[in-house]
Amino acid sequence: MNFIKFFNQNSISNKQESYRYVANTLINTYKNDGKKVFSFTSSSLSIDSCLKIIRNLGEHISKKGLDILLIQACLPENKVISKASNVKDKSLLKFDNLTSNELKEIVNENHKNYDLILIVIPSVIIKADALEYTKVCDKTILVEKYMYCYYSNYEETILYLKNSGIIPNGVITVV
Amino acid sequence: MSEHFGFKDIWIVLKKNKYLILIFNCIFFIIFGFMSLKSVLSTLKTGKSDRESIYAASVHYVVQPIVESMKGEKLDQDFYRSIPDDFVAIINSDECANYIYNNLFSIYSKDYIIENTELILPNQEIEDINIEAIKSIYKAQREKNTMIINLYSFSYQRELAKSIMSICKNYIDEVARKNIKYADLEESMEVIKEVKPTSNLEGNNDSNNSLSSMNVNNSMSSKLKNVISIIVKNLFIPLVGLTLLLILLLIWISFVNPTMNRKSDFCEYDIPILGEIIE
Repeated sequence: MNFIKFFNQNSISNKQESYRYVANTLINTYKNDGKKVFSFTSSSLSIDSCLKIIRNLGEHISKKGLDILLIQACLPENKVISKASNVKDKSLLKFDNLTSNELKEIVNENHKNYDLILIVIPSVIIKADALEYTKVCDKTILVEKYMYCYYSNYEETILYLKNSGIIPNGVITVV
Repeated sequence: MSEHFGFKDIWIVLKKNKYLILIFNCIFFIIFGFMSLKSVLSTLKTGKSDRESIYAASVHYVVQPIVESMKGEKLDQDFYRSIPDDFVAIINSDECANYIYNNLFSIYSKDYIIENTELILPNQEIEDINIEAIKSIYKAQREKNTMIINLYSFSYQRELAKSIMSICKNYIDEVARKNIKYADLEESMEVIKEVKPTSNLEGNNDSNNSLSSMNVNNSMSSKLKNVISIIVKNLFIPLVGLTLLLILLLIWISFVNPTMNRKSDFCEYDIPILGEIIE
């Protein structure tokens, strides 16, 4: 039993540590150049899965004493629209089919109130508006899962972004 | 993409599709299971593991030359010595088997005959009974270096063994004797013995001349072996084969449209890796 607990504990602590590592990287990026609006997109994960990961990441960042605003820029089609829904820190906004100008307004409204604004947007190869959302953000980060990220989709994502003049600033891999 | 495809990627394909492989196996296990169940039930029906002995009816014929028919003809010793072989060939022919088949099945029901003989092999259907199968319930053979022909019939029922022998004898009287004009058969008394499967027809334990060599085998272990071989041939081999095909297909699909499975796969694109999250 202790043997099993040992392994379980290790895996839980590894998970926490992995989030902390990435959180520290984002915080350092913010401190270095002052850019606070990050967009997260993925070629392999659904927006819900991406949101779950970024929410956990946001929690770890907020433990460092920073105020985080999390925005889900486009809901999956069948879900109900909600604003500032039931999230612990009440700093999650969900919007359906925003225009880029509307998103820009929301970002500008909250820019001074929060240290970091994390925007989760759908895949640029699925949603055309996603490219417009990334233009509103300071930095674009890809979130990709091993075994589920196809070379073809990843390359297509990078191509779409580069053709719009956006160079991804980094990739977070998910095991 | 092939430069990125290695053993790890194959393992990842299996890991990613483990539920698909499992479901596939379950479905085909059920399908093949039903198909092999029929064969297994047929085997169990025909095997007679609870019977310890067989009835063997036997008659001996001595080939006697017919002197009148040989008058005026010069026949050498070799010709005379080959006559028993001619009788044996006639008795073991398809025509004789057909004769026995028609007569036997007109007297007894198919089920009764199958139940009391080893007429069909474990993996055969009842409809597969044919002339060749009939040859397993009787046998004619020449005793070495003699002019004696031994005729045997086998069954798990005394009466059935006697009937088979009677039909054989009728055939000999109606056909064999008429076809061979230079000799006749002198018949001995018919004997019906109850013998063990591993003994010879004289009742001795002799594996060289045992009933098991005449396609009569009713031991529990052989029935079990037959069932196991049916299950292996009809269930496991096709299942394993199809599973391997599925795995090869998944590997091929993954090779054609590969996924990024390691950090180094991302390094090629000049986008820095900010970190790795364990979910």
